[in-house]
Parts: sequence; structure tokens; C-alpha cells
Amino acid sequence: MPRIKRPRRCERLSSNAGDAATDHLSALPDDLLRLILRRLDTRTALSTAVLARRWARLPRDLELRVADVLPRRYHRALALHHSRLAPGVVPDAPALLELDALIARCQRRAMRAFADGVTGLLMESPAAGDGEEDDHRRQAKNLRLEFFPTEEASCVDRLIPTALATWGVEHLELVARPPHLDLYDGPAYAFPHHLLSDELHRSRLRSLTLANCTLPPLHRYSALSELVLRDMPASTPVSTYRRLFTSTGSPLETLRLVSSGCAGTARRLVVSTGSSTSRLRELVVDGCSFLAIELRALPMLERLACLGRNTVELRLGSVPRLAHVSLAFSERSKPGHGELGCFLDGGAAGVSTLAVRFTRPSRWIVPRPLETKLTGLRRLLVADVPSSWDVTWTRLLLMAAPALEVMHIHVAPPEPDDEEEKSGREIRWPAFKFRHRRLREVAVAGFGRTWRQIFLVRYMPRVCKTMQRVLLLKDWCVREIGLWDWELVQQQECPWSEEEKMVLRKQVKYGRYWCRPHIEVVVG
Amino acid sequence: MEVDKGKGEAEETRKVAEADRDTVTLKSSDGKLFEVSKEAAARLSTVLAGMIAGGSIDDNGTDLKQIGSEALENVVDYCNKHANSIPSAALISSSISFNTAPFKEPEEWERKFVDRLSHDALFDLVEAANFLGMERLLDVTCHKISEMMKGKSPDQIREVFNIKNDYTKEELEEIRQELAWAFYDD
Repeated sequence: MPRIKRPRRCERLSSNAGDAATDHLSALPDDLLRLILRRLDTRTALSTAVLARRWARLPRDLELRVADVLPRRYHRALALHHSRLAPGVVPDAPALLELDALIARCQRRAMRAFADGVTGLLMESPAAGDGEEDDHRRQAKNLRLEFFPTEEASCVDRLIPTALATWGVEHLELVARPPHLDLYDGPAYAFPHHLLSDELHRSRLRSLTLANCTLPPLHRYSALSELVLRDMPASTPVSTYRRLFTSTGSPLETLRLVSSGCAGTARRLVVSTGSSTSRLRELVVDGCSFLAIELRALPMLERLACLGRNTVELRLGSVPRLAHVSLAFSERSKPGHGELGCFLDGGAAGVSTLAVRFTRPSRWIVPRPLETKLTGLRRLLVADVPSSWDVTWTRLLLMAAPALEVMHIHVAPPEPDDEEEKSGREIRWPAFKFRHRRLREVAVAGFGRTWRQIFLVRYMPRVCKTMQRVLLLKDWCVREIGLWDWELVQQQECPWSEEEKMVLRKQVKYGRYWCRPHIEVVVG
Repeated sequence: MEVDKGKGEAEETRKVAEADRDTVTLKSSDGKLFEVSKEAAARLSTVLAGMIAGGSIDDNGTDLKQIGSEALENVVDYCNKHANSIPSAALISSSISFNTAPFKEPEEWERKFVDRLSHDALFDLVEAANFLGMERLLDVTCHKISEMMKGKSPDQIREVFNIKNDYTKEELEEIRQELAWAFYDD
């Protein structure tokens, strides 16, 4: 019989002994206390060390955030500053100067407190060989530091070597907040890799997140499997990113580029065939300013996500293992086949899960069959389709994906602040015989009973004999599960009456020339 | 007891409770018996799921010597409420076989569930959830405890939880200085 044995730290006192005496909290095992500490803000979590000796010894995630010590008037001053600069407001130079000075003063004070905190942490870490102090030695797997890159930030340089060497930090996150009135265009903070002389210490680091910081040479971190770069300044040369893929012996398996800028006008990231030794399995580009990304060879890549406001032209070369792709397209897509058409016509044949979403209504694909077959595609999500589009275009994807089993379409509700959205042109489908042999489930979330939608959901069962289930979901939306999976969730009860639902069910199951009585039709 | 193997009965928890094939009987440390649906037990508790799969469930009451009757009652109550709280919509979507992500924040009913517990009962429930490997319940209860600590000074926390201060005066002063920045206020 599987039993979990856990040491009981204290015997329950009988209830009549009075509850005032029992310390239930300290009686909990360390891992439960950590669960609780993790949910607290940094200040409270750190200050629990004062409670009792046991609490000082607890391993915890270390997080020092300058935001925790910024006074409330800092945020008030910032808000005021922004409102003074708003269009239509007559600028009041002396008042602005005064505000700037106040903001800068707050930043300096907060950074001094931050530096004190860092120094405190360093002092606590005992000199080696001091046996009795062993209890006090900090154990931390995660360290997160968020600071302004002022003079005082040099304390971070001193902290990192200790954290990696003495405390055994494996996950490190450094966030350099851009200070108010930042005139310097470049990474705000230089990662102090030169201070980490001992190979052993460096090799422990498993994940590194850098926001607005320079990037250390990666080959020196042999255990580093995950790298996140955030908020890199617009002056960062494209070559910096390219090196992430091409540097030989790079141990990276996961790379995320978030809200990062890059220099130049072409802004084209080309990952050449020189990266064939890359171990990269997961690549996420989210809200970056690249205009084009071309992945010519990434032999291990399995998951790819390309999201954000700026549409990226994405081209794939040799990516034999790519299985899960998530893409978002936005306003600036060019008309015509557009980026998605390009991508699908490229090297996406082996992809088994594809999630595509749109952010604004501009037609991005012309109604002509795709050139390539997506032979591996099994699950497809097309989300946030503007309601003005003729939804029957999704037939193109169905026709291009012979192995498709599950197809989910989500039609976005029309935006309330938009003046009447013009309905897009209807696609005229030439009559030709098409049969699909794998599709077993179709769901339309945001189903509005428009005739094009009904046309689509009647078409699908007609051409797919294997169809088992059709879901017509009115007020449903898509909830992402991670970046490559999703589920449909109901937002409101369906207002339709039983009669209306019955009519819909009949419409899906029976046509003039066909009937599919076995199909389960869910209307909700 | 009637032996009912009917397939479509699963949705009615009351009926389920009568047919002992669909429920698990749990026995608290003080010998009280509780019934909980097998499905909910297996879904919410990794330990019970392992016991059910391993066939080590006793029809006359599986002994859980580490858990008192009050805590066990709360555990069973939670399992039942959890089963009932699933909206019809979620039933549809779960049967489409998506992997559902665990919710992070407690839901409204879960908040209410832990809010009504006494201090002692809350901690008994944390231990029971930990013992039974009930991740979700552990999340909810730990969240509640952290909320009881949030925004309080160490002295206030000590008072709420009866934590005994075992520092000497000098030690306390020292550690306070190290953490001075955490107490910095503008």
C-alpha cells in the first residue's frame, strides 16, 4: 500500500489545553512553509526571518525588487508627469523639472535601500569554515533582482558571484528597470560574467532571465538550458540575437525573446545553416521588432511561437522536428496571401498542432488553395477571427491538411467601440468534389448563426464521413494552456431556446442529399 | 447494499454513495467512517488515486491513521463540493479531452470553504491535504494562511500564530539590521 510517511513535528495538544499555546504554523514541515512563503510579497517573506530561528533557516526564493521599496508618491509623481505631457496640456517647464527631480530622488533612495538589502544578504552569508553558522547558510534556488541601473547597482555585481557559488542559485533573473529620463540607448546593465572565474559555479546556472541587460558569452555556462531576453533596447544589433543560435556548444534548449528591439532597417533575423549543432527545442518570439525571421536549420526545434503586435514574416528551412506552432497575426499584415500563406507554403509540413490567432480585421489570405500540404497537422485552432470575415475561408486549411482530426474556430465578438464593421466580401466557392477522411471534431466558438457560419458547419459533416462531433458554442472563448495548447470555455449561458437548438442540430445532421444521424451536435 | 452496475448513474452523487463500488470508505484516526466518490477521490488526491489503482482500498474503511475525523470530514466535504462545482460547460470541454490547466487562484466557493474554518481546523486540513497529496486543496489552504500573514509586522504574525520568539535580544537586533531595508518605509 503506498503510504507517504512524514515526520510529525509536534503532537497535537488536546483541544481543552487552550488554543493560545499551539503554534500550528511552525509545526508544518519546511516544504509547506515554503509554499506559504512563496505566496507572500518579498518584504513580508523576508521579514519572517525575524519570527524565530526556524524561520531564518528556511530556504526561500530570494527576490529583491526595488519596486517593493518605492514610495507611493513616486508612482503619483510619475502619473502626474505623464498627465502633464499629455497632448493638449500646456507644458509647465518649472513644474516638470520639479517633478523630474522628485522622481529621481525617489529612485536614488529606493536604490540605496535596495543596496542595503543586498549588502544585508551578503553579510548573512558566512565565511567558509565557520562551522557553527551552517544553519544560517542560505539556500536558494531562485534569485530575482529588479533594480534601477544607478551607481548603487554595483552591489548586484557583488551579489551574483556569491549567489551562484555559495547559495547554489540555479535560476537567475535580472531586471534592470529603465530609469525615468533615460538618455542612454543601450542595455542598462552589464552582466558581470567576468567576476565568475570558477567554472564550477557558473555551470550550475540553469535558467537565466535578463531584462535590459547585456548578454554574457553563453558557451561558458554549460548547464544553462533556458534563456529569456526581455526589453532589450532598440540599439541591439541583430547579430547579438543571431549568435544565440549559432554559437557552437551552446547548451540552450529554450529561448524566449520578449518585447525586445533590434537595430537596423531590415531587422531580419536569419538563422543560417551554421546553427546545425543547436540544441534549441523551443523558440518564442513575443512582441519583438523583427520584421522577418528565417530559420534555415534548427535540427532539434519542436515548438515555435511567434506572437505580438508586429507581424513577422516567418520562413522555415530545415526544421524536421517542428511539431507545435503558435502564431499571431496583426493589423499590419499585407493583403493577399500574407504572412500566414507564406509560412504555410514553406516548411511547415510536419507540424502537428497549429494555433493561429488574429488581432485585427484585415484579410490576410486569398481564397485559393495553399501550395503545400500540411501533412502532419492533426489539431488546428483558428482564434480571434474578426466577425466581419467570411468564415468559410477556413475550408482552405481543411483542404490543405489531409490528416486533420480536430478543428476549432473562434470568431471574435465585434468590438463595441468600432463603428459598424463592414462585412468582408463573401467567398465564392467553385463547385468541386472534395472529401476529407480524418476530421472528427469541429467546434465553432463565438457561433452567431450567421448564414456563412451555418454554411460552414453544414459543409464539414457533408464532406467528412468520419465526423463525430460538431460543437456550436455561442458565448465561448479560447483559453490558452501554455503557448501551444488551448481549451474552450463558456463565458455565458446560451440564450437560445430548445427549439432554436433543435433546428440547428437538424441543420447540421441532415441535408438534401446527405444525412449524418450519428453525429453528436452540441449547441451551447 | 444494492449492487448497481448501471452505467448512467454516475452523475447522481447521492445514488453513487449507496452503491459501494463507486465510493471509497475512509476511516479517520478516531474510527469514524466517511464515504467519498471514487472518481473525485482519484482526481483530487494522488495518494488515494494510487491506492485505488493499486487495489489497496478496504471496503470496510481504509485506515487513515494520520487524519482526525474533523479534518477528514472537511476533506470529504471539499471533494463533494468540488464535484458539484463543475459547471455543465466544463463537462463538455473536458470530454473533448483537452488537458485542463490547474487554476491558480482559489475560486469563490473555495475561499468561502476555507474562510469558515477555525484556526485549528485550517491547519489540520493543510496537513491532511499534504498527506493525501491533494495539490489543489493544499494550494487553497496555503493561500489562506499566506493571506493571514500578508501586510502584518513580525510581531503581529507571532501573535496570530502563537509563534514563540527564540532569539536572544542581541540576535534579534542583528537580524533586524540585516533586514532593515525590508522594514524601510517612506
